Amino acid sequence: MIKTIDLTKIFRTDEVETTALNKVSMEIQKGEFVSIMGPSGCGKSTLLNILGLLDNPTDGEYYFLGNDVSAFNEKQRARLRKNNIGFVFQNFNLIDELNVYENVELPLIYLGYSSKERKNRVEEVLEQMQIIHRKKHFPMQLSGGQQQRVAVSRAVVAKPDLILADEPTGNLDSAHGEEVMNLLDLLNQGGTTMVIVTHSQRDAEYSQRIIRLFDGQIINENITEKAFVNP
Amino acid sequence: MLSNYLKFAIRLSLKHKVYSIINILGLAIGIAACMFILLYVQDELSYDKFNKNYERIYRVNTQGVLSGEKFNAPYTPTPLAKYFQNDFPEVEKASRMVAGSHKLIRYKNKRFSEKRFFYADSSFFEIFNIPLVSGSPKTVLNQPNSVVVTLETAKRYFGSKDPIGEIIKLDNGLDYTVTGICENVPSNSHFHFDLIASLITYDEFRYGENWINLSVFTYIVLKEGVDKDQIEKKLPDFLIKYFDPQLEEHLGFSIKDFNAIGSSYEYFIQAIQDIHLRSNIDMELEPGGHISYIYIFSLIAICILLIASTNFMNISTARSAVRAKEIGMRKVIGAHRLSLIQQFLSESILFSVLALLIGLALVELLMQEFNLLTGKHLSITLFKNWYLLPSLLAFSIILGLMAGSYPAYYLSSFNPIDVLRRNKKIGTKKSKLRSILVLSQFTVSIILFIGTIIIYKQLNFIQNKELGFDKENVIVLRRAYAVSKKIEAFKSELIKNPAILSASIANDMPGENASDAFSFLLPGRPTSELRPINFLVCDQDYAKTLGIKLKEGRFFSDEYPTDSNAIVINEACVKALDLSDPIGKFLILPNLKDSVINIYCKIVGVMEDFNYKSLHDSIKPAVCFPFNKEHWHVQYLAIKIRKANTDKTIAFLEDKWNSFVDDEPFEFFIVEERLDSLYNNEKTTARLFIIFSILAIFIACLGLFALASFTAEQKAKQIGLQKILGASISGIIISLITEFIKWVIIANIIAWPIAYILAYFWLKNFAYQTAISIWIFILSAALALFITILTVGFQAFKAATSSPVDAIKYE
Repeated sequence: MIKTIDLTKIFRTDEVETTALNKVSMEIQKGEFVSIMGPSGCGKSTLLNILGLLDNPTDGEYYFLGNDVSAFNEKQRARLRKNNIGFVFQNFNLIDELNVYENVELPLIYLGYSSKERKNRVEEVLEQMQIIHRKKHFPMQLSGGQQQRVAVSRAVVAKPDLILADEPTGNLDSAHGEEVMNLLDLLNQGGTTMVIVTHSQRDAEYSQRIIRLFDGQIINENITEKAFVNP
Repeated sequence: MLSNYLKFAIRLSLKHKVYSIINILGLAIGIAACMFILLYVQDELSYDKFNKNYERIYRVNTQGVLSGEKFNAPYTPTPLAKYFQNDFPEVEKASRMVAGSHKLIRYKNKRFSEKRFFYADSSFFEIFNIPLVSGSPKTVLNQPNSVVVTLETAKRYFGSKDPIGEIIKLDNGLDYTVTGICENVPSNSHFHFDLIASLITYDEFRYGENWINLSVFTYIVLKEGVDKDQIEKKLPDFLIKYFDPQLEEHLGFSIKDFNAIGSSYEYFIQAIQDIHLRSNIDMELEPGGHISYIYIFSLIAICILLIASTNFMNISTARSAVRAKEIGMRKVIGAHRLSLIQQFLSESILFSVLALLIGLALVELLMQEFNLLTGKHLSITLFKNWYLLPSLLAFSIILGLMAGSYPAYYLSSFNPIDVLRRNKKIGTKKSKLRSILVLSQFTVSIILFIGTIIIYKQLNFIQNKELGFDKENVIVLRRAYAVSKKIEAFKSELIKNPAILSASIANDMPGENASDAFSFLLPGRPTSELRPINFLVCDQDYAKTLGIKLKEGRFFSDEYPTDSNAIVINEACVKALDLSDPIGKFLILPNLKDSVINIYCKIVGVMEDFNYKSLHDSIKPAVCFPFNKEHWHVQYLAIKIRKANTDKTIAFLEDKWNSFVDDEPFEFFIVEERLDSLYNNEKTTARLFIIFSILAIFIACLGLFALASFTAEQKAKQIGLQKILGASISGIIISLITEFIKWVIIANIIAWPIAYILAYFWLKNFAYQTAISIWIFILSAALALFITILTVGFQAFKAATSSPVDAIKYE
């Protein structure tokens, strides 16, 4: 599903040039659950942004669903993104002025679903995520765990092939964190490819493979126990 | 999608109430102000357009140069209308109109003092579409002694009784039969009458062939497809055909001779739709407006809208940080830029439609006050004109698009990675466009400041300019002819009251514009050098009563029996006639038909110039004749009184009047008030300008307040740190204010020359102009600085005195 060859990202300002990713080559198969780990500033989020088509690499090749997307413009990337990728962020990034239902509904609006289709789909997902009872509430009225469940609902509502999660438990206590990881695991078991960036070894244990980054380079890849349980 | 956008916009507005209120209120006030201006301008531009054929109706005027002096008048000779119709096949219809003087009218035992009694030819109602409630346009004025009254007049005279066939009596002894009733003359007409009688009642208007005197207004309707130039080309020959023979007969020279010495005389036609705003003709029936005011007000309307839209842009872009997360997230989940632009534009359109509704409510609420202020009868009839509501809606959509365009472009350009990354601040950088917008707002506001002060100063200057006479405490009684035969007795009765200082009888009073002109000649000069000079008839107490100073010689006096042929002239007359040592010299008042009985008038005094008209016109040459109760029928009696107990003095005057006069009502005016009323137009314009400028500046202040508050919010962390490091509150306030002061200074540099040029051209409309002094500019700059410091200072003080711990925590 994902293949990168010598993916490089360099940030340039007037005086400084920072290499965030340095010739990263990797491959992720459909249905895989992969964790990306590494210290702060190692390039994890930059890699996730490029994989999520939020950014373009400075150099190298990136194949998404078999297409070379490394030189796609914003419009092309937006189209691929909305049809295929869901995002989960550490700080949830829910829109404060929209209630739970409306937050989850939003991707379907941009995909042009009818209001009836949207209603069915959103309620189905909210039920699945066990947050339906809070659908009229606004983000500020929810706990962190509930907010992240809404964020996950939003990520999966359009049934994407790939979910990218940037430290999804970073702002949650351990109980809520586990709850969210279980949700992601469940989705993965349903066939959704999952890539998470995390500092937490415990979260990484949910994945089948851990890619470790350091100074913008992959320093190793480990297969986890999960790979054997759930190959 | 749209409902989602709108729902979101409403929730966001409710969450940030202050900014939303500033945005919507600013736009609403702006829209209301613009609508008032629009209604005012529309009304000014609509003058005389109620006439079905207004594009084909013209007035014939006369202009020329006599002895080096330019003149123009909206009058023509009496027979002109008839011969226009006879000679020019292009002319469809013609009608003459005469605006009569004050009349006393009697109906049964009631008496009415009428200022607006007109005369016109029978075709009048076929040319002017003043609807007749009763009577036919073709016939209402075709018989002598017929009169048409307006609905309002009919009610006053006859109550609920049918006026047709009723007879009213004029003070000249003539009876008039009411033959028609018309609607009141529309307010947007260049003339207004209450009664209009048939002109053919008078022989001189029926058969008169005098081409020398200018005594009637002549209106013509050109046939369809006829160009104004086609007529104007024929006018010189027309003049030679009719005017020239009489000129030769009476004065002994032709137009050719006349032109040879540099003088000229001609007729020209003027579209009636130009009379109100584009007429530079003296002696108009009613004071007109000026097209320059229309441009000024339109410009102010545009400025107000720009300022309100700028506020919207500034606040929206300055507050982009608040929306960064939302924008980023929308992009992440697949929104492309166009859909975001659509979202932001629909938000701004929602704001402007809301503002339109509030603006309309404001207009409705304040309409009465606005009408009182302008003396107009404006209203918004939203549902009467089918196009008005859709046009307003379209306008607010355009306004929304205009105000929302830049924020939409700016906000939709955010990179989602930047905005979703923690601690990354978006929209906090200084935007170049925002700086330009703030600078433009300051510049426009300063120009309006300067404009307001200059208009106010000019008006003050006109009203307080030394007029050359003492306008205070002078009461003028009308219809003085009622006492003129017993004037000495009447005056001596009045003088007995210590509250009365002096009294004088005269045929004109400052502000009344009632005097006429006579043609004078200097002895030994050819008749082609005849020149019309305004003349005044007054008794020996005129100068004393009005406080006019004498420069040379003396005023009329009973001590000089030879004064019946004496005249007193003004300085302007001395200058115009190029007289040296004028005292003792003669002016000739020629008898046009018989040069044997030319009247020789001896100059016995020269008065200092005084403005016997208004300051719109420069002082023209004038000649005073001594009043002679056997010969003159004069209108006015001026009475100089002591300041105290004016009401009591007026009651005394009325009492004395009634004891001397049998059947004439007591009517008076106060000179100072009469003169003030001459400047009503300017006063209204100035008031409007001042109000709209203040509104524009207020809207700019709203924006400034929001921007300052936002700057303070953005700098909360910096301010907190500065405080922790020991900065003083005053130091922080000064540093916050300084940024805005910089803009005020630059804006002044840009605004000053623009304001100067605009003021210079506006002042050129006046005969007497106030100086464009430097202090006006300095005062405007100081005011702008003061308002800025006050607006920004409040926010700066709030920021500087808040707890630094909160600021750091917040960040």
